[in-house]
Amino acid sequence: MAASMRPPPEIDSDEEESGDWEEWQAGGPEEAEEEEAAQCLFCSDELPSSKAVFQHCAEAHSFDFLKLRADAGLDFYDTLRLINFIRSKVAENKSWSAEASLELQESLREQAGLSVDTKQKGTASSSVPAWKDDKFLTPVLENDPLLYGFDDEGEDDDVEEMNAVDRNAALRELLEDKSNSAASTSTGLEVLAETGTRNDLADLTKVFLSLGDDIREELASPLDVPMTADVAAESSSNSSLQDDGAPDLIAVEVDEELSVKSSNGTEPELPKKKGKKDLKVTFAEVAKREARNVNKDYFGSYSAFGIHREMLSDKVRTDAYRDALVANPSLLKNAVVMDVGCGTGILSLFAAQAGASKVIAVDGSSKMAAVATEISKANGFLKDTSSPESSSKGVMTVLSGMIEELDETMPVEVHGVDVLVSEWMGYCLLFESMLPSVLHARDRWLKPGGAILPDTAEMFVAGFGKGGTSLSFWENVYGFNMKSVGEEVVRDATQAPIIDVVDSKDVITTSALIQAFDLATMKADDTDFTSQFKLELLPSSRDTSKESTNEATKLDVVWCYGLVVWFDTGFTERFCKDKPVLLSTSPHTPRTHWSQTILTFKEPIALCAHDASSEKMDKGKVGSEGCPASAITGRISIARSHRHRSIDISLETSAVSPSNAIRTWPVQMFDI
Amino acid sequence: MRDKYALTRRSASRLLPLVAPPVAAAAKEGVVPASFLEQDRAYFQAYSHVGIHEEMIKDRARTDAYRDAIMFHADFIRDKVVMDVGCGTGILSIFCAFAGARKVYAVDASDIAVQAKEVVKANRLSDVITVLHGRVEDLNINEKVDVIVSEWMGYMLLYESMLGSVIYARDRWLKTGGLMLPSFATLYMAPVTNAEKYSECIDFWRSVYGIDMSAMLPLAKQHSFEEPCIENIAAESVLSWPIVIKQINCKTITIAELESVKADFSVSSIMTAPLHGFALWFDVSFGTRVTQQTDLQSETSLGRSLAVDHDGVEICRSKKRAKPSDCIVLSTAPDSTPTHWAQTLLYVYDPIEVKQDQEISGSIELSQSKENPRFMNIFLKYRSGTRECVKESVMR
Repeated sequence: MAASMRPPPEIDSDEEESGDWEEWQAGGPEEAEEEEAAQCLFCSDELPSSKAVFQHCAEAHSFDFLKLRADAGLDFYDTLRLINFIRSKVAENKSWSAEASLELQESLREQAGLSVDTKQKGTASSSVPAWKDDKFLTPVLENDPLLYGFDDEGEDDDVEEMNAVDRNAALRELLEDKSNSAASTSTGLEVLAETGTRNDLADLTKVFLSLGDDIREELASPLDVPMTADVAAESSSNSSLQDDGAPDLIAVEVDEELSVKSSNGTEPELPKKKGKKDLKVTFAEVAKREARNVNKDYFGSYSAFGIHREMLSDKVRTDAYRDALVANPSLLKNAVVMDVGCGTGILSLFAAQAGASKVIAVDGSSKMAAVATEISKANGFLKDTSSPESSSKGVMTVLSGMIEELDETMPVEVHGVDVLVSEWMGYCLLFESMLPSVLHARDRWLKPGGAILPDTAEMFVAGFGKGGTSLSFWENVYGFNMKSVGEEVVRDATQAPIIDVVDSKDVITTSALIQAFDLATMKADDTDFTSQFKLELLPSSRDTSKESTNEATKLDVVWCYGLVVWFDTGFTERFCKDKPVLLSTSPHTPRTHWSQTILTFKEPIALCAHDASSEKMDKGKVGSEGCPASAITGRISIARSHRHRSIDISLETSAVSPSNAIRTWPVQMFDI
Repeated sequence: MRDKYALTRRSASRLLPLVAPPVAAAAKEGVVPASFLEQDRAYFQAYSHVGIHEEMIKDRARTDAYRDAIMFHADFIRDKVVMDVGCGTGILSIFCAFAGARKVYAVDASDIAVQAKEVVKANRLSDVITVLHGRVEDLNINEKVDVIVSEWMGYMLLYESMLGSVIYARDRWLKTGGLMLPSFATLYMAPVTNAEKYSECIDFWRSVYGIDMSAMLPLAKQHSFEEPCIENIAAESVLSWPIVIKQINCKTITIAELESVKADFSVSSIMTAPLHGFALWFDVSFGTRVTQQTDLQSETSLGRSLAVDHDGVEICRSKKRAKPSDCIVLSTAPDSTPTHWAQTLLYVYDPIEVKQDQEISGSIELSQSKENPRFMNIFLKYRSGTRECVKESVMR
């Protein structure tokens, strides 16, 4: 947990290529409000606006969407689901005929009768209609204008205003999801058409061949929507070939046809691009707003008293910073210091004690900034702004706000800071970390060659044994076997990392460095990384854990249940020449409030010592008791999540046998 | 990311949605029949996290008391039908099976029931114990039961307790003359002094690494004392004999009685010390009441309600005298083995200095919150010497 927080650079500018900015700005709000052509829910007719589409659906297909929606009291999400449901059904042609649409209408009317009830119960209803599935929140058509167009009318302004935020935020998230997993959600024809690989085309062909004649015809009609033009083109070729019934051949042909299409396909591209641009205008704003909201929570939580108490009471942490600041006078004496995310201001006060000539403490929480101001005043370190030269001791200035937005009030020149200090580390180093803000401060305010404290951060992994789990406890509860409960605990832990202290004796393997950051030079993007590691059994753990029942081989097998992740941050002699300091959160050093991060394997891996590897053991799969592994190798990826300030961890593990046979488990994703 | 220890019994309730539908009203109108209310769902989900069960089972005082009580009543339980309301991992059901029960219905609405099934199977008791995954209120069991066992007690006895479900099960399935385990429950309160906690919360900020952080004091006080705290307090910190706030006979208690619990008190301090707050705790006893008690106070007497206070004090004093063979008591008092319930502390913002024998009086009312029926409103009035204060808090 980092002390107190700063926002990272706005995530929109972070995630989008800079070129798009101009597009957004050039686009402007007018364009965003322009009506956009949309495809009918049921046929391939394109109509000039969402409104027109709904009108067309009512007239041509007896499906009055807006009325149904109003009658059934569908909320925003339900409406999204319904549109996507219909689109996906039409695309799949599972049951999409006039009767099916009647059925759906029926069920919606039914719901209309119960709509009050439904609202109260949320999703508690026992018989949930198929379209209510959350998978239908994922747009089927990319940039489907209908998804924005359904409540252009009817609702009063207030409501709409409020909804707009939610809606845009939700849509943004959904679209992001979609782009991340386009392949896996390829139920819609358009998705398939766009990914455009041979396999997908084969699938596409199958899907297409299964379509009903009428829809095929419609798709093939010359009035087709640009977005589906590729599909339409194929469709005509397919229908002619259909009787030959040679799917492979068709696939190839389609492939060729499509590649030709897309190389001349500038015409259909245009409207699509425009749609994207419009979206981005909205999404840029939404992203900003979202970042602000998340930050609000974040800074809100950091004003919470308990966290500061916990952090100050974490002696390992506070001592390390104190030593780095107070015991390095050659660095701090007369230095200009900036403290990013100052919290109670303790690091700034250490710096002031150490003889800094100017200390600028910044915190994103105005409440904490006020507290820090009070504290620095009470201790005689606050700079007296009324008469700047009056007190020799008053060196500290506290600013409230995001470091990225404080240019106006910063009492120091750009690149005027000698020492930048921050306690930015989160759980697993990077979870909820404010590292991006620190790096921003470094690039903008730190002198070239200035000191950053800490200046290194390293992440490690090691394997842990059964003691790192609660399995033993559940194996004997008052003499009863509750193993299944323990297994459930472990199952839970295979999906979500656990923050807990791992006892040094439960670490059973060597450790491996998975990432080293140099804070003086790194970029914010470096926090997304993939790393290989190799772990071997520690000699000592053979003696302590006698779990083997393998009589035949008399080998001590030790089970590895997962990986423990920790980090060290260094105040190295590069800057701290008088007294370098290492702040470690390892299982082998005194515990800190960060504890360690525990990633549990889906299946434990049997290990034996390397020196025993001469004996031939291959009775079973590698990593099982019959064939214990001599090493665990793997690949771990840590990346910033699409959720602000969160991270995703993925882990692929292999067991390597003494004879170098390898068994690899499927990749595990840890959701934080 | 989840902190293994963050999920205690208490924090389970924090997972509940803050704005809840009006449960009682909705239920009365029958709008929401068999399906779970969102709130219930969250509650049961919280309890399906195994961490809570680990905490509860590891509470030996609790689990031992239940085991002893069940074995103590083995003669009654043998060949009988038992219902375990809120069975969790199923441990109480297993105890009952070992005590010779012919049939045990183990009921739990949270997903832990899935594990309970596995546990029962692993211990080869599937022919005796039937695990039912659902709310007691939704069950269909076509036989009456002889024994209802349940570990329903929450913090301060009544906070987030399952007593309502136990009462429902009792009224619907318990045979006349059946056994309730536990059988009696009593909620106590006493004024306490706790200089250590006070200084830990307040004085910490006066010097942090030599830095004066008194600016944090208002926040610190608010954080430390606004809401009830769950913590163990030393027996020496208790300033008077306990006050009985509520006695519950599990065979006769009604849900209406539990909506609001109110008691006046007047005690005298046994020492000179600053009054820092009030501690609440409870005990439950299993089986027939201690003999001399029943003699003293006929349970069915009409004068019972008037005599409650007297009766309660008797119970609490005789508890110490009671031999385990007379009655098994699970106590969460400051002088008992610490349990996962600890005690519930209501701290006052500014301590009152009280002298030995000085009177401390007032009233306390615990009532269901309108905001969320699982929350509890605590309204405490207290006076001593010239000071008279009111403290209102919500246990969330």
